[in-house]
Amino acid sequence: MSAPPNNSAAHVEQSGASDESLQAVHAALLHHNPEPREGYSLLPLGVLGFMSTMIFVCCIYFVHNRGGFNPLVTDGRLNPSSGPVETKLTDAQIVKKGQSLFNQTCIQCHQATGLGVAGAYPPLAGSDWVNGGEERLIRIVLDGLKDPVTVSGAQFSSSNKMPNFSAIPGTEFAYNWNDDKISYVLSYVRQEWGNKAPIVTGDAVKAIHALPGVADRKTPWTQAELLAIPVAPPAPAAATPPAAAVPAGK
Amino acid sequence: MASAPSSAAKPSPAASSAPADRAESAAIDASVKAPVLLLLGAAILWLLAGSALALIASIKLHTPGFLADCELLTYGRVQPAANNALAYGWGLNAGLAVGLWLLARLARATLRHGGLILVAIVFLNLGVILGVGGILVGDSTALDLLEMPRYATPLIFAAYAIIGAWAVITLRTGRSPHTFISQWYVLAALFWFPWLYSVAQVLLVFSPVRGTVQSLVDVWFAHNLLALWFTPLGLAGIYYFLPKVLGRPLALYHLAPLGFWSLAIFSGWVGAAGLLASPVPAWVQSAGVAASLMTLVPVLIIALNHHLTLVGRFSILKTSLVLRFIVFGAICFTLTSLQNAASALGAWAEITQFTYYGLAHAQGVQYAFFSMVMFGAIYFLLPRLLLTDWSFGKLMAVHFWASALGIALYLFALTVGGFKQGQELNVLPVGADGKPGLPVPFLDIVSHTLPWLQAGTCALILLTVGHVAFAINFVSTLLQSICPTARAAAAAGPVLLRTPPAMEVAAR
Repeated sequence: MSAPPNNSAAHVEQSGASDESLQAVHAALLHHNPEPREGYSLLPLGVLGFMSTMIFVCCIYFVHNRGGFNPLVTDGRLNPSSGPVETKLTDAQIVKKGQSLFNQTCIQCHQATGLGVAGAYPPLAGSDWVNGGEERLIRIVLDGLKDPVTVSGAQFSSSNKMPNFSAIPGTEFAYNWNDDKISYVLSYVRQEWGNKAPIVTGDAVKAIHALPGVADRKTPWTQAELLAIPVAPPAPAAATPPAAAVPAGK
Repeated sequence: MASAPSSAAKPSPAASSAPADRAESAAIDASVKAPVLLLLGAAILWLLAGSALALIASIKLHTPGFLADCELLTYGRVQPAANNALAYGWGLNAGLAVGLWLLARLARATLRHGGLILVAIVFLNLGVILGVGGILVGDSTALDLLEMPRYATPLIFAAYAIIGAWAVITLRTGRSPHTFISQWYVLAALFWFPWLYSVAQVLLVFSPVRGTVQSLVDVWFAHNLLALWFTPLGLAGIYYFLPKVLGRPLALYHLAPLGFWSLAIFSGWVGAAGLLASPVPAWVQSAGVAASLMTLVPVLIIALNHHLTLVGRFSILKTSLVLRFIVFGAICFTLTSLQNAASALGAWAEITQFTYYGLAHAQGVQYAFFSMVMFGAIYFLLPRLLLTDWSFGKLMAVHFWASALGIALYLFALTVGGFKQGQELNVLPVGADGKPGLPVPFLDIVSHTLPWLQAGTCALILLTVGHVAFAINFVSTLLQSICPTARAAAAAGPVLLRTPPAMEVAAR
């Protein structure tokens, strides 16, 4: 457009246009699109189309990920208006949770091997109590158990009784576990160390917790009291796994 | 002296008002000479200091024993000190220098009462010295890009406000009946920075908000410092120098205001996209992602404007060093903006969040785009201020290639390295698909990043070489303009500045 600078040795960049004309030309361009020479240009239409598409896409995205504008919802995929999402744990997850609960508390007496301490703390591995009816087990964990107790033919007695894990006001231990936690740890105990008993559901714990004489009990159970409870017949025990498997499956 | 050289050269189709034109430009240049030179001098000193600190920090990443016994230079201090020296020392000074010159030139206004600006510039730099020094002695606030201790920041804010107010007054007193898009961007940046800085300082340092709002304010500030300060100043430079040097109007100028407003509206929200999968409300994150995607609209408009203007004229890059810097910056603006939009996508962020990738992106905006445009602008404006030629043409070429190759290597190393780091960090014992994976031990991941970090150090060495070349050239040119014999020789020699021709719409 313009002649090369007459001093080619210089490193100064020459202007291609004066500021005044640059301003004037662009001010005119702002109001007059200089394109019409080739009849029709796709470009403005393309920009408009792109803009509209982006507005559309972003609106859709935002509506789908707004989380109900709830300040407590931090994952946009969750829609709080559809109510709290029930997350059903699989059997494996239940047992896993039970394991961590067991390792925090129960392990001190019953040991990692589940064999307990001879004469003091009864074993869980292969125990007739653990692999027997779930109602007796649930009651033991809810309210505790007073020594002595006979497990798999051996007598156990120690100064530390089995504590209660449900919330009982005014009791010595205050684990305050809810029914679900109790079901997790029982499920773990019934599946570990070669035990093959079915898992315990949270609903089963709830049902027994609600029985008269369980929730309001302030003292631990004795062996005699528990033995008075009929061992759940094999039929309901067998009915438990499908009941647990249905919500877990779908 | 000011108008003397212009009358000698008579390029072909100059408008009749051309010599008067050149005289007016010279008068404007003379009025802004002192503040712009002071800002540029400070900027270049900070550039050197920042490069040295960044180099030390980068070496420490792969060789932790380096300078390990010096408390001032431990990584936790030297890294934020480098960041702040480059963002505030170099960025503020260079941005204000170029912005002030552009505003005065485009408004056709001479700067009056420049003395107060000189005082403000001195205090601005005292504030940055106090801030960076405060970080080095251990007074950092530990907030991203707001690390400077609270005894330094009010000084920076007040000094900046004076300089900004002067720029606005200059714009108002100008004789130009038109407003060019570069003026919009410079003026907007001048207003946006005090807004961002004061809000962030009050809400995070002086009267901290509680809970997740803190991290929200910090990402908002850290992103917008890039998007509403560095970016508009860089764009102002590109929008001005492309048509100015080419002598050819911008390709889609009628769309430029749309690009400006959409950038202004959406950029403010983008920062929240950096908080994906964090405990801030979901709608805030989603608004951030949506805004990030919406910024593709201004990016498309701006990129088309830049690149279509250049189409068919790429050969000028062989001769014009200024345009080489400017076009490099323009390309990097497009690339880093696309990268920013991609980072907002959940699947992408899952890999790149919390890796070196984010560091590469920030440097892409701050250096590959903003700083390169500033270098180009300085190469254009300094001869006009000093009325003397650059001392060393070779050093200019060294600077360009060292900077271009250095930053390209840096971005490549940390982007690829960060991406691989993110992929390795994401291998879980049981993946989301339920398939068991083989997690990489954490220390192995750390050692796998070593070659990339070493490449980053090499890149920073290259950049430092470029900056030293730039500084030598700047100082030598400055001395040359002061020395009287050189001035006489220059006046007697070939003409320095041609009278620019008038731009024609038909030049397209």
